[in-house]
Order: sequence, then C-alpha cells, then structure tokens
Amino acid sequence: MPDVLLVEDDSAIRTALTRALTQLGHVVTSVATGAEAMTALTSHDHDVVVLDLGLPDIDGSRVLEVSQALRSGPVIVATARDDEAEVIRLLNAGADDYLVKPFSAAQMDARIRAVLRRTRSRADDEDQRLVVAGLVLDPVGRTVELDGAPVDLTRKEFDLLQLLMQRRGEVLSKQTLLAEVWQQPWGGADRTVDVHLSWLRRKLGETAAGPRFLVSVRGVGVKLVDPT
Amino acid sequence: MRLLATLRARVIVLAVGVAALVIILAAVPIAFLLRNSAYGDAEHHATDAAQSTADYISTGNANDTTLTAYLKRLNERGNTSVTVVMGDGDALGAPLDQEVLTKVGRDQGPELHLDHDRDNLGEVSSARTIDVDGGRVVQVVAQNGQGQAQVLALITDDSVADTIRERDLIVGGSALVLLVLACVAADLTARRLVRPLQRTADTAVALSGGDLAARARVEGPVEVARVAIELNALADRIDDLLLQEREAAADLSHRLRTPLTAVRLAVEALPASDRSRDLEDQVAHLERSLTQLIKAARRPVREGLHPRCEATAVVRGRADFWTPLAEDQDRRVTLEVPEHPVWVRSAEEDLGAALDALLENVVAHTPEGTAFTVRLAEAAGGVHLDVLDEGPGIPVVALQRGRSDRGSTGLGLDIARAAAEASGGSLELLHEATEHGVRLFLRTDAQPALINS
Repeated sequence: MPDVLLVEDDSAIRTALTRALTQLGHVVTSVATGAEAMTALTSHDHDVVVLDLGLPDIDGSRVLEVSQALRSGPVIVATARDDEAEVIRLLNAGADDYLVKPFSAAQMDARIRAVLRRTRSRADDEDQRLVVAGLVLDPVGRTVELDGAPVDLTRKEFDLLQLLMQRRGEVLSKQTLLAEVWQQPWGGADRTVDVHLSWLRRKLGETAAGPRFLVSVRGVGVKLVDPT
Repeated sequence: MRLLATLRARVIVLAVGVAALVIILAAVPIAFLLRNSAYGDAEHHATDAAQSTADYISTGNANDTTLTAYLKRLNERGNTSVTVVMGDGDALGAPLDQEVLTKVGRDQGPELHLDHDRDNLGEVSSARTIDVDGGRVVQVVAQNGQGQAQVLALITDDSVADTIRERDLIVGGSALVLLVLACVAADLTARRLVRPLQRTADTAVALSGGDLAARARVEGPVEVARVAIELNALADRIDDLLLQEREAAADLSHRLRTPLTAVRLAVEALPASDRSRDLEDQVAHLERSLTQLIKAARRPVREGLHPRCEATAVVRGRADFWTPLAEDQDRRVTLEVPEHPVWVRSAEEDLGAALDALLENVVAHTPEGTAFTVRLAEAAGGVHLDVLDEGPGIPVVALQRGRSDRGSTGLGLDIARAAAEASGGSLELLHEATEHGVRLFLRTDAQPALINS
C-alpha cells in the first residue's frame, strides 16, 4: 500500500481526500501546514507527497525544495493555478507531476499510481522498453516502432500508447485516460480521447472497424491487445 | 491623395510649394527687367557701333570703297547691322529695309554738335533711337567735307529676343535649382522630423501586436519626444494593468478552485445514487464553466492586446485533426475554405477551441455515419464559420448561456459564442435545406498598415 503524505491547508479537502485515498488503498498521513510537512518529511519516508502550494505558514515551493533536498518520494503538486508558466516553474523546481484543482479522488489516485510506476520503472535496471508483438515503445528515447519501422507520434499519442501498453489487456475508461494522459481537471471531454485514439489507430495502420492492437469496448473504454 | 498621406510628403510639398510661389511672384518683375536689360544692352552696343562709324566718316578720309570695307568688318566682328546712308542717298553696309529708310529719312536726324576743338574732324551728332517695325534703329549723323551721312544701326526684335531667351533660360534654370534645393532641404528636415515619429509609431504597433516590452526612444523635436514619453508611460501602465489582471486571475482561480475541490470530493463521498450522480454532473458542469471563466479572465494576459490569427489555417488544421475520427465513424467531411489567407480578430487558441467545441458537438450528438460540413466564407466585415450536419439540429433553447445543446452541458456553444463575441462577432443557429448547425460570425482583422516614410 503506497504511503502518501498529504499537505493541504483546506480542512474540507484534506479530510475528504484522506478518506477517499484511504478507501482507494493508500496509507495517508495528512498535515495542514508547511512546518508540519517538513517535520513529516524528515521523520518518515513517504512513497509519494501530495503538496498544496498555498500553505498558511510557508510557501509550498519551500516544502518542495526540502523534499528535493531530502530525496524523499516523488511530489505531486496540487495547484489552483493552471497557467503554463506556473506549471513549467513547478516541474523545473522538482515536482514529478501536478494536478490542477478541482480534481476528483480517482484522478489523484490515478496520478499517484502513474508517478509511482514511473519512478519504480526508473529504478529498475532491466529494459524499460514496452513490447507488444511488433509494436515496440521506448519510454526513455520516446520512440515507437511498428514491425521495425518508426512511427511518428505526437506527445499525447505517445503518452496514450504508453499507458495502454503498460496496462496491456486492461480496458481503460476514457475518464481514466483523460486523468492519466491529459491534464484535465474535469471529465466530459470524451471526444478528445476518441480523436486521439483515431489518430493512433491510423498511425498504427488500423481502423476502428478493423482493429489490430486497439480494441474498443463499447460503453466501457479501450484496451491494447496482442494481435498474434 | 495617397501621395500626401505621409508627413514627409506634406512637408516636401509645402516647402516646394512656397518656393514655387516665391519664384512665380518674382518672375514678372524679373522678366520685365531682363527684357529692358536686353534692349538696353543691344542699344548700347548699336550706339557704340554707329558712333564709331560716324567718327570714321567724320575724318573725311573714307570713300565709298573703304567705308564699305569698314562696315563689312564692323558688322562681321561686332555682330551688328550698321548701314550708312550717304548724302546722295546711297546706302552702304548692311542692307536695310526700305520702310525703315523711309521712316528714318523723314527728318534731318539728330542735330549735329558744333565742336570747337581743333582736330579738323567733321561734326557728329548724338545718337537717337527710333522705333521701327520689327525693332529699333540707332541713328547718328556725321558730317565731313563731302557732306552729311546718316549712320543707322539696326536692332531687330528677333536678335533681342534671342538674348532675352538665353537670359530667361539661365534664370529659369536657377529657379529650377532653387526648387530642387528646397525639395532636398525639405526632405532632410522631414526625415529628421519623421524618423523619431516613425520609431514611436513602430513602438505603438509593437505594443499593439503584443510586445509589451517595446518602448519608444525619446528623441527628435520636443513635441515628438513628448509623444514617446507619454507612449512609454502608457506602456508601463498597460504592464501594471496586465500584472494586476494576472494576479486577479490567479486569485480568482485560487478562490474558486479550492472550495470547488472540497465540494467535488464531498459529492464523490456520497453514497452512490441517482441524486449523487446528478450532483456529480452538476459539479462537473460547474468546473467546466469555472475553467472557461478563468480562461476568459486571463484572456488579455494570454493573448496580448491585439489577438489575431489566420482563420483558413486554423480551420484546415482543426478539420484535419478531426478527420481520422470522422473516418472511423464513417462520416463524410466537407471542408470549404477560401484559398487566400483570412485574418480574424481572434486568438488562434480561441478559434481552434471554438471549432473543436462545435465539431465535438457534432460527433457527440449525431449518429455515426452522419456527414458534416465545415465552411469558412467571407462576409461583410468578417467571415462566417459554419459547422453543419445532417442531424436533427440544435434547439433554439440551447442558445441560452449554459443551457443544454442536444442534451450535453451546453458549454460547447458557450465556448464558440465566447470566441465569436471576443472578436466582435456573434453566434447563430443555421438551418439549410438538409443540414443544420451553427454559424459563427468573426470580425476580420482590419488593422491599418502604417505607411513607411
């Protein structure tokens, strides 16, 4: 069970998120101030830190710096600001991911799991390439090959394919794909997923009517399968 | 009139105009003086020739042969036309018209001066000028022991006119040089005046185009320098206002998103029921509206002061983006856009989002296989961006803000409407023979190009 340190000054969010993440299988330690967060970071190792930047005593960026210095677990910043400059600043400051408010507990859960998967796979020495039949995805070099030929994908298409290959055979809902691949704080943009899936199908040489790797499950979602 | 559109052209025209006016005003007295001067010079020259001939006659040494030779040499060398009418009526030297001879011969000519010197020369009269047809004649009477002779030096109007023409040409050339000098001087002055103004205008254009770091150089005449100072102050003020807006948008974002997160988490924690699902939908709608609200509040920060984009490229790009999905769903896509660029007063992101929203609306609310059309057409003062499909159409009630468009949250139409209204345009429903859909009217960008001096 992932050990999550939740740093959030808003008591309503802190309480609700603690309860929800606990129900989703996390062990949550929640604190309300920057000082408490620093104490928690120094006293105990956490698998992941969920950090709200707007803290009453210390700027959340300071907590992020301390977390970096202590080499504690990955940090997901929960921020109310979604402007590009702020996002870049956070990622440059050492955040592993960010989630723009308002978010659902499921989105936060998906993001936590994605960050943990990423950091754990980085730690593994074994080949990180994802291979499904003739489809090979290299997450480090960010390249994709189909039957030995390179496939040119956009950033979102790559992320989408990577997620589907990581969870091969599992039907992923559009909500899950939105939460994990897109920085969408809200649902309802199903067509965004649809249109990217169509592009992905086209680049993988298949169609919705004639699927090979990407199989739609009507009303549920999509899964990536081994066509052989 | 476009010739006079620039300040530089106006300064040049003013300077050249004033110089031309001065030249024209001076031309009448100058022409009069030139004419008199030419006649005066010709008369003086003719008088000298006549008097020298008379002096020669008065010596008494001249016979017809020597006098003829003398006159020939004189007329050739001095370019004169001197004729001597001897006392017996014979005319020597340059041939003279009979009418002139008649007119001159009506009297005895000027009175002889009785000189009282002891030089034994004959008497010579003073010179007299007589107007004749086609010119003037200078008449001098000379006397020697053989009688009186009249020396006539003819000044023709034609020969004087040649002189006048030559002098007119010199004066005209000088006037032309003066005009050119006035033009060059005016151009130099205008350039010095216009250059700082042009730089200031370039700064204003850069600011308008979104380069908020642009500042004008304070230079040139006091008035122009002051414009630059005031423009820079205005740019500083814009910076301040944008900073305030940015902070206000960030504050708005924080104030609204944080409590909404608490609401969302609380709603999710409710036991699953129709009521809780309804609440979740409402919260999701609220979130989307909030995102649009914050985006709209951030618009000046995001787009700068003068948002514009090339609509045909955006429309083609978004249509291409949706084409694979349309093909997967067996939808026939018809794209109609002008061949030439069309600039509209909308940020590329806004126009793209508006078209995405409308296309998503089509994909979401019409059965697979339903064809749709994306059409960009020029209209008075702007362009029409139509998205039409062969589905059942959108109910009029959907045009109310935030109301359902064919069963969804209604935000798609709001996004499209916001983009259209931000450009000064509008959104309306469209019903054609077999297709229905939405028409966005977007204002074209009519930013005037500054004329470079």
